[in-house]
Amino acid sequence: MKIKYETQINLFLALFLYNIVFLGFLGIRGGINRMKTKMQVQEEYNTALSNFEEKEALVAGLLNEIQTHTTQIDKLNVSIPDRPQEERYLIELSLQAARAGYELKGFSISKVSPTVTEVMATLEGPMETINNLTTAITSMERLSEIDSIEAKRERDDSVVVARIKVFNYSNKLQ
Amino acid sequence: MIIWHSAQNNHITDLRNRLNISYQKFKPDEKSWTEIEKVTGKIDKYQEVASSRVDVASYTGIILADLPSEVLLQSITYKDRTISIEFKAQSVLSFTKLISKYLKEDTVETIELRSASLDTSNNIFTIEAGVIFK
Repeated sequence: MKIKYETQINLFLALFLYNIVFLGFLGIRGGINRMKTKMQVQEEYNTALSNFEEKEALVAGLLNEIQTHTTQIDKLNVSIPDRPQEERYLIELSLQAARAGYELKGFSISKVSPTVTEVMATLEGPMETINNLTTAITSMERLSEIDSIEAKRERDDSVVVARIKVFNYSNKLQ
Repeated sequence: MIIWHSAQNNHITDLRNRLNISYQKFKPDEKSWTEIEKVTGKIDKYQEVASSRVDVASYTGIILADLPSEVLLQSITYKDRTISIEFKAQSVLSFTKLISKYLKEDTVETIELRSASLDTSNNIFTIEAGVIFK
């Protein structure tokens, strides 16, 4: 059987168009699938990123809080050091006493308990400013407790010799 | 598409790294717990001492505030919420005013007059008193 030339062309054209449609369909389907995957990954990423940013904000807040706490812990470590560090206390006491017009003349240190040391300081200064001295001692950063004070005018002038017994606290003795 | 995945992978790797860093930062270890226990102990001690310690400075402040110029404070001692004072004055009135001033203070509980003497040659009174605080 002989097929007409026109029919042959039409047949080839039909086959050609069919192939284009078929391949096009496959291509579109692949594209749709890839787009679906892309959208899923994008959605997962966005969710993860959103969760992370939420946690990151929380962590930033916590870090800020930790910073505040660290400062407070540093102050606490000065108030109650790990070891007695009485030499530091005496230096500080000497400076504070000088501001109140007193001079540290002598001291003795003894252990009272595993976490308490007793400092007996002898100072010389004017009677009028003895209140400044007690205020300076009680407001020092190191946590201490004044146990006793003895201040007596030794001569006729205003100079007094003050003996102050203080208890200092630490975490443990050396 | 390849470029997009590569970028996403970088983002996710970055995200994981940042999470790992955050986890490492906040993962408590044994050393941290020991430190936390130590700090807690210090806080307890601080609160205990700070709440029980006596504010001696406020006591000496009351004794020395507005001390009349005619009154000479000879000695001041503090022990167990009591301030013992010895002062000299030329008139009994100055001494009375001072005692009256102390009694007006809310924190003063009692005033004990321990001794009083008069030096007739100089006409100077020497008085010893104990101011007991609440």
